[in-house]
Amino acid sequence: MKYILIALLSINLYASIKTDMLELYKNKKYKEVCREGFDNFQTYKKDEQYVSIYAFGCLNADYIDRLTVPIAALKYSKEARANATYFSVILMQKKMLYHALADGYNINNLKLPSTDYILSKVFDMYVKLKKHNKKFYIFKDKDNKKLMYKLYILKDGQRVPKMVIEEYIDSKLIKQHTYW
Amino acid sequence: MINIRELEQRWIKYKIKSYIPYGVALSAVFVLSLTVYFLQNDKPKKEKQTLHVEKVQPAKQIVVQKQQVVKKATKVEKKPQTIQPVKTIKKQPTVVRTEKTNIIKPSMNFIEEIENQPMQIIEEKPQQKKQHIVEEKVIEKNMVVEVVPQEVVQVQQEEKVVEKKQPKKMIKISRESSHGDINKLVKRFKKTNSPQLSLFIAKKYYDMGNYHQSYNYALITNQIDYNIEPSWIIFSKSLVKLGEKEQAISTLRKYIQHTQSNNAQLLLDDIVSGKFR
Repeated sequence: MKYILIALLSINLYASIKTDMLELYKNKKYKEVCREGFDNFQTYKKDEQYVSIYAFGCLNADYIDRLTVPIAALKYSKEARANATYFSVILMQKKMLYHALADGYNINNLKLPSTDYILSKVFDMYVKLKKHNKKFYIFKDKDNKKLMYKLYILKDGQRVPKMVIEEYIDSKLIKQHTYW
Repeated sequence: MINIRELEQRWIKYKIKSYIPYGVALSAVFVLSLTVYFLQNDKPKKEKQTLHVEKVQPAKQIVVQKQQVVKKATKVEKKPQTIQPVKTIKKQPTVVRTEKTNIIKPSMNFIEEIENQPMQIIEEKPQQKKQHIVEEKVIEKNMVVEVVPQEVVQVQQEEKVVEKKQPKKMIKISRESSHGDINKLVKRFKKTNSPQLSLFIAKKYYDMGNYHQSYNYALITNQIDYNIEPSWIIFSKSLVKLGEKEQAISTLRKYIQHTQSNNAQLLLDDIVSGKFR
């Protein structure tokens, strides 16, 4: 009886963690989702719904490097594999773009799969450029003419330079994404 | 008689034969130097990973030309050792050759799956659990328990004491909707995205004592339409119940500044004075 109660309680708690994370996700508290997912990952790493929401939380919080763990865990279903591929592409594009900006790595005309994520959009536009010697790059969104992206590398005296993508609508800064 | 012409022809043949080793050696050196040149050019390509189709194709052409030169120059040297690197060049740009860019889209079905799971009840605090116990008892007895509206929280803590202390101001506590019903409403809301429905859900959750969810749905309602007064009231009440009194006060003050709402002012006064806890 005691064990049944414990089991029931743990199931309830488990479900509540997922729903809590979902609520946080809906309220756009992505950092909290990512943090919570990371904290409880070892316990629920075989639950792909849990891992998926954890990964999307990290993605929307711009914690791209943290996607490595969910990428490895998402493999049991078709949907999970699709998401793992999606995250992998973004992770690779982030690394390549960062390397290109920071070290002059040549990614001219490189063709990779694309995604709807901002980093992918900027990556696609960057590789199509002929010259890559500017201090910053301005790209216009294909679908939304008012939306512009500014890409640059920030060397603020810290150990690692940071790659910054800024989103502008009508020349007003609406969001800043920082990666390193 | 010495046949001079024959001798001259033989001499020419001899001379030609004597030059053959030099020719072979020269062509070999030429081929070797070409090989070294291509090998050296090949390494930086690997490092840079410029997997560019246009760049790779000329390399192939050069190598094919080189093959022809080798064949013409020396029929003796048939070993295509120098062509080996070309094969590796061919294998490199496998990723690049697809002209069309595949767009990968994420699959978000898991969100619906989580929402539709039967074990969707949010982890409840001990206080809320007590309230549910009270409600269940009410249902069992087919009775309606009447308690003070402001004291609902106290009922959660000390139900019996509250019932005895203030029996005059009464409201009905009854379990009108179960989690299943709310889930149906939530599904309907997702389809319609109606602020009235989300407000209704927020109220239901609030009545059930699930202040976390009532806060969420009031917030959603406000995001859809920020002019719905009851939504702000529920939002602030939920905040107070969740222990975020200061935030509730600041939210109400901002709302009052914006709308001059009397109900909001009354609630604010109650929260500040401690009547509403």
